[in-house]
Amino acid sequence: MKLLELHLEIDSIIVGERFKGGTFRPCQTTIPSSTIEGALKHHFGVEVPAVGFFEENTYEFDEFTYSVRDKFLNVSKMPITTAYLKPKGIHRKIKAKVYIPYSRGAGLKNELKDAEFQLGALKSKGFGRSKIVKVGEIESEVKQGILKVKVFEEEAGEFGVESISPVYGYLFKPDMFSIGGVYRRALFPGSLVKAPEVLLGEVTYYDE
Amino acid sequence: MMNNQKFIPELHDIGKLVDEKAKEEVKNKIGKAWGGHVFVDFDFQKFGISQTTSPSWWGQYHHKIENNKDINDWDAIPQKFRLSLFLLILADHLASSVSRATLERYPGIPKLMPKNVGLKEGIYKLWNKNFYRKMEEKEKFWAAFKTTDDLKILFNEIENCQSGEEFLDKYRDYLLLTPEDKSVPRNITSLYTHVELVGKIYRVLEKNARLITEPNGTIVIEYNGEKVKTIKEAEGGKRTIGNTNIDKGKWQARLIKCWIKFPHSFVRLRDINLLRKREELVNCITSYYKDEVVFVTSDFITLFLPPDQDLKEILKPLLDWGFYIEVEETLADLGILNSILDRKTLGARKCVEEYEKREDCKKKPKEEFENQLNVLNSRDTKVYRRYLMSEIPDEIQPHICDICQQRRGIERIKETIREWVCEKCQEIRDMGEPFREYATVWEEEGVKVCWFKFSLDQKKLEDWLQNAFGEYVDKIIRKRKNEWKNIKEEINRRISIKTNKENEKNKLIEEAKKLSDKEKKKTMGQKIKEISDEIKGIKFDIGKLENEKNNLRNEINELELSKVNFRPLALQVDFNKDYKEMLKEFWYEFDGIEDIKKPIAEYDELGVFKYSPELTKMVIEKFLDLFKQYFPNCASDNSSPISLSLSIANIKYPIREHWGFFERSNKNFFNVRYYRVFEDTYTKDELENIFEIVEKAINVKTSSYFLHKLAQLEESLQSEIHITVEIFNNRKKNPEIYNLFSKGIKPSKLLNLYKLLGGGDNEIT
Repeated sequence: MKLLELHLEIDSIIVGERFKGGTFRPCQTTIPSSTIEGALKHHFGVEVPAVGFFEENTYEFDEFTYSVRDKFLNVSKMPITTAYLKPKGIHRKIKAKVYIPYSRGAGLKNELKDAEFQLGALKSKGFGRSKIVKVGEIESEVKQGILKVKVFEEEAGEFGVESISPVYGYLFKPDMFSIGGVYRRALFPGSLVKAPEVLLGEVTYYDE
Repeated sequence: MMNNQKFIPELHDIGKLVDEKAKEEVKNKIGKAWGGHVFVDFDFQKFGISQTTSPSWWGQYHHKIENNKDINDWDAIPQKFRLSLFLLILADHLASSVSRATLERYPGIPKLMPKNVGLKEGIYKLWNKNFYRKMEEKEKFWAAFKTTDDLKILFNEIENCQSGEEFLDKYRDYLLLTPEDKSVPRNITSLYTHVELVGKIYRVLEKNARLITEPNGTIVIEYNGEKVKTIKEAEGGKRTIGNTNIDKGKWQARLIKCWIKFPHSFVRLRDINLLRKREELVNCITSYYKDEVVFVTSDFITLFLPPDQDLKEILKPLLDWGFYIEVEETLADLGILNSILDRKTLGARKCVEEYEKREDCKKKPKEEFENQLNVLNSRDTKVYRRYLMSEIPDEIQPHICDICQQRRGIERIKETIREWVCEKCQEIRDMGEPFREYATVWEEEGVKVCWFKFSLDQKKLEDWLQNAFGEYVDKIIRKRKNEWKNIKEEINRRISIKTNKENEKNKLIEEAKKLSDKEKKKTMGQKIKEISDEIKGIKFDIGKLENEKNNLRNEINELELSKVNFRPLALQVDFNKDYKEMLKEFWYEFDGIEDIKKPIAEYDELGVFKYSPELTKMVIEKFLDLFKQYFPNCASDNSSPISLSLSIANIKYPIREHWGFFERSNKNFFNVRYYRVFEDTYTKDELENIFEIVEKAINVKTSSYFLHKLAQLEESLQSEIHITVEIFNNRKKNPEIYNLFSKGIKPSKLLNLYKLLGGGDNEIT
């Protein structure tokens, strides 16, 4: 399967979980389709399927506390603490990889190189500054294994992902005006699939 | 005349509860006892009682039927009981801890019992090797039937017992102390579990099998559309390796491991009612499918099912409540089906495909994996991984449920906080406050809380059991190899004596030829004859020793094979039982202590207490004590199946974050997280060693000062050499710390526990 592979370097980032309630917001360690696609659309104005993940051992958790101000009432709401990812140990940046189906991303290749954009939540507080440091074409063999990304079910085929036994969850898909949207069913990490090896956490040999 | 009782498979091994002394007494009394542990040859008339007439009596024949004997030729068994006996034999084979293919040719194996393990005939638990000896000290013994009078009670059980459950309840204490088989290496499983498993498997097969009389008058047994006449035909060969015994059986079944998972996030304390719901649903499934469910914990179920039974239907109650199930399913012939066949099959496939890339595979020649795979494939062995979830729609209009994220949420506002919660999750919330003090008294006090959770990792358990069994068998093999070596040396010594004797004899013959004196010749002849007789004797002894040596070689080969044919299912059940007992005892010890709670009464793995160094210490110490009591010989590092995790934070900190910490996969024996302060993991040895030092350090200011200094140095310099020099320079003042460091324990580990358990001025703020 031919894919466009983007190497990203990120200062710090919050990819929020869907959970609400309470004053503590957790952060996830994958880059779901919804997050990366939204960022690419916002920055480049194109809608392309994309998935990604942070490279292990290049990040660790920390926490950030902030207070949202209600401009109408001119009061601050209760402070919220959110988890975020920051570079770990000797790494000066968090490293991430993003994949786009080659047929959909080939035309963007030059535009993507060295591009800087923002990803995830709390951009106004400086989170999510990302740089694409390398863009390459890769050929990844399709194998059976355990999926390690979150990808919209309807877009999975474009990545060569074929579901054998899915773990479903939902990702938010904004409408064309980015005002509303719906939660679309997605394949979540842990799903047994046939997919390009780069998207697998583990290659497996189960009967189908 | 037959009585009208049911056939109770659980009674088939009742003879294993009889003391050898009773057997001797019977032999002395009526001149003959009975063979093995079954009473088929027992002379009831001479003993003065009438033979039992219940259907269960025919279970006594489970070792008397050859595997390839046509069921039509089972002349000793009335036709109406042949189906029951047939299924019992299959169930007995499936429930044994080592494949019946191993060791059957060597009835002398019991003598292999290690002399130094302090055993008599009680169970040998791999994780608690002195268990039986400790029970003996408490005057508890395995034998339920010790005298000839007790035998009458035994026969009465066969005659009148109403159910397997009744038998298991009545003889529970004895069955738990008696091994499934007293011969090594099968003495590792309790008879209780073996019998319980046999009963379950038997009834699952019974529900799906029937006896058919063919038009020609012969009988066959049909299961899953496959008709058979012999045990061999049903189960096939019994080995998963080698080039022999690979013939496929006609009857297949599934062993299914189910991990119960949930996508829910615990937003409020009440959301942990989900754990109570899980207990309720698991209990409901277990009681409805009590035969199909082989064993169960709060988050794990193992099932034994025929090929076509719908798993989703069984697990429907869980799916309906939003749980999803990770399933690993093995379908195989009855002859080879076992609870680690999935791992063996996947392992063989991986090593065949990736042999060149994988160092772990290269320990064996590739051919071995190919042969193994050939056997497994030729027997249609399948391993599936599946996720079972309830049907969920392609899309959900906002808002999605904050808790499960699987359904549309309904807006709910409480105390100005707006939430979207679906009806199912709300129903779980409405099950009530797990314990009132948490959200009222404790929260008002603004205390720090320590949530803790015990875990049993079933995958690690499978790994550990296989290794532990391997080590156990290796120990016996080493012993046998030594004996083999000694015999070989003895043979060589005797061969050398024989050669000397033969030389001496030849020399005498030569000398005799030269003699002319008849008398001298006669004397010489006599001498030669004596030497010839001696040589004959030596040859005879050598022959005997050679036999013994060959038997030992065969036994060693069979013991090697037993490692391959190991079936840990019954052992897993025993281990899980001990784990549950340990948790019960843990909570019993804390009964009445106000500041420590079990939030879900039915769920023993989870607890919470108002953080204090004293309670923390008590919890850890109790865990260490109980682990030593129940699992002294079990792994206690990062390969430990059992672990304890502690998560400490202010009471406002979200419970889902504590839970997230508990659910991490890379656990050690002891795991601790103090929110925003530290996070660390410990092996049992580290924990015990540090505990000892901490006890002392709490009372000695110099040690604590030194610990703080070390931690600061480590943080600022990140230099292990510097730390080493510091510890070395202070080795006389702080020898314990020096000793720990020389064992590879980092100073930060020591300091973290010190802070956690120190309290007072040292308490972390």
